[in-house]
Amino acid sequence: MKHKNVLVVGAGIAGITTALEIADRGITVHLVERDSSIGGHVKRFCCKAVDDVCTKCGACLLKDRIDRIKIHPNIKIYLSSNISDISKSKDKFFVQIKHSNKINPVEADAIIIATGFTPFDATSKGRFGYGRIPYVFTGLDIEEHFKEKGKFNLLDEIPKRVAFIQCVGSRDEHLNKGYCSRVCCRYALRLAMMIREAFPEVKVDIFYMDIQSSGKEFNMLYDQCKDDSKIEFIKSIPTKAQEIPETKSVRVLYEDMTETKLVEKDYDLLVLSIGIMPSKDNQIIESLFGINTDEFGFFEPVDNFSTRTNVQGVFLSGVCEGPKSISETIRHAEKTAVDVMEYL
Amino acid sequence: MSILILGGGIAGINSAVYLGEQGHKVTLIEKEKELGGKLNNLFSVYGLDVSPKDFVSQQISKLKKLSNITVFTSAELVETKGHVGTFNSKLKTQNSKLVEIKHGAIIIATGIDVSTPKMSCNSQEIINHTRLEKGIAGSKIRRLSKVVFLCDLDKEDSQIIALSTLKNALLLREKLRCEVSVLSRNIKVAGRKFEKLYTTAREKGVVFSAVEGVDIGGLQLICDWLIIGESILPSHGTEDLFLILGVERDKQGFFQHNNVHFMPNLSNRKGIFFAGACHIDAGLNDILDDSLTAAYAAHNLLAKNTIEIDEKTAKVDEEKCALCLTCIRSCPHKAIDIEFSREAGKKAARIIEEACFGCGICASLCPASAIQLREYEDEKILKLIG
Repeated sequence: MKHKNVLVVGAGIAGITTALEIADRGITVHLVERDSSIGGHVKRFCCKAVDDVCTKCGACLLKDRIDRIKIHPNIKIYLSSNISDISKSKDKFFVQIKHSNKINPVEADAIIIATGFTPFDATSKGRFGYGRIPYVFTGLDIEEHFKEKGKFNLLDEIPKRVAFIQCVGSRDEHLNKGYCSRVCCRYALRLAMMIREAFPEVKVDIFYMDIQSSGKEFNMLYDQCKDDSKIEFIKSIPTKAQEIPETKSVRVLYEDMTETKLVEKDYDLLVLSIGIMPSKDNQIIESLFGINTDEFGFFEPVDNFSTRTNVQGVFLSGVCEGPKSISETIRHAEKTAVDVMEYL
Repeated sequence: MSILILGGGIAGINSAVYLGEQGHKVTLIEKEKELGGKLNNLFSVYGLDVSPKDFVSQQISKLKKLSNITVFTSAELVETKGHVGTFNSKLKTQNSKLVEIKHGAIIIATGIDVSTPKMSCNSQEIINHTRLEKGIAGSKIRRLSKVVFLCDLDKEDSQIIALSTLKNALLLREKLRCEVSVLSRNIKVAGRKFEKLYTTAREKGVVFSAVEGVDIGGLQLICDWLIIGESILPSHGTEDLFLILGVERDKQGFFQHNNVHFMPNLSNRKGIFFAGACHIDAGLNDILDDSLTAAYAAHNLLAKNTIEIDEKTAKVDEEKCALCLTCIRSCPHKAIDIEFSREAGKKAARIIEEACFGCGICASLCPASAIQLREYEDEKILKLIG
């Protein structure tokens, strides 16, 4: 077999996993990353063990892979780089990788798109006061805080009442986000349990539409939350949040569905479970490569059971194809590697 | 190298086809008389353009074309000895004939069983999703005018059942124009295009209502069919496999241990992989991906014909070994056995290096301190801590 080259766009967990699998088979992989370091979003996630028991969030699965990829002889990593131009003749792609002002030309027999996602911008949902009210955070903020500074010192004082609002930027027809982000229920419940563990007195309310309890691990976690008397599930999405400066709290207005009346409740901390949006680079990639996207902006595979795209030789890996958890992303990324190997 | 695949459902078949195409010798065993598993009984699967039965037949015909795949139906695994690379298994095939095979790896794709929650309701017929799928294919269904789906009965429905509810609710509404209601705690739409399925069903007139804790006894529903979701159980025989192969299970009895580092397909024993519904709760799409990644992992392991040994495996000082068996009992990876040691001139524990994960449990438990981890010997550590 002639020596083959593959280009992987995006060095998040999906791109890294696919790159490793392919490189292990003796193929040279060019891994292009926009950021100055590899790891993508997973790098920002904290370990979500509760009482030192792993809740299988998968955030730790990145580190081994980063260690392996850095020393892999078949993988060449291009950091802080973009793809400036691409052309195809016969079955070969000719790609120009731009790094500051320098351009590296690379030949590739196949291209894997692993551009991941962009977290939903919570400020665009102004009624929840993100960015205005100091006690309103996103799930990602909490993750980053837990990862960098540990579970404490989240606020000046110990929170007594915490609320999570689910589906912020998911399942929302007004924003043309008519899809479920699949991960928010999982991380929100894990974070809720971590907050409960850190502050034993705290009461947590979770505002939700439907709990997306898929996967057997998650169901156990959900049962555990339901058994906790200090975690309450409220089937309603609040209409607005308003700052109460005197008590340093945030007031949430929602409709109580069982009694159909409006209720106001005050919280010391409000967490918005923001969803997954197609990566903001998707449009650029779409115009460069000519891959089909679905109505929401995720890339569309040729059929439901494949990672191939409408462009021959271009494959999809991970969340750029649709929302997935870390372990689902890894599985998808490995499947992509199998499809690519078959194609080569 | 050869591979043994347990289970001839779609996951097992899919793994077998991939491995067969890569040139491995594959033995696939299925306890039922025919291949295909649960998909054989389904009328349709969301996202699949052809009927599930045709889809399985296509895969089976691919399988049959590959001469390096041997299939045993009505067969089961009786015994497995050895470890990664040199497994040695006995199969009981048709007419209780024993077949012995040598193989390098095992893929467990035993799938799931379902059980219908027991309930009685005097006014209408209660059916489960399995019967519903059969019913849709049959003719009796034409007379239906009102159907109710009851979800999340005693616990949350699994992904498979939740998806089946959405798909069949829409199907009954569109094809038969009958009234369809879905009563559930949570509508599960976590998956590619599932939300679309849900909104389409609503647009077409399926009525979704949120209920909290259904009390069946006091329930008065006027409908022709009351459809309830089955609960998903580990496949019959999981217990036996656990005893034969020593692979760990989670709290609910499904395969694969809680260690995330084993995700997606690894088990606590090297050379044994999981594929499909026996370890994940997912729709066909994910099952296909998963079985392929399991096959790929097995292929990666065996393609080189050599197994790389980790540098940090345990080692035994045979002189010190008192044959107390503590290590054998405590090893979670079945990587220790007893062998005659020529150097020590006696029997002693032996680490099977290719199966060892280097976890260090045996080293920490050995009462005679006869086991040490390479790279982490006592002397080295003592020097480090002064």
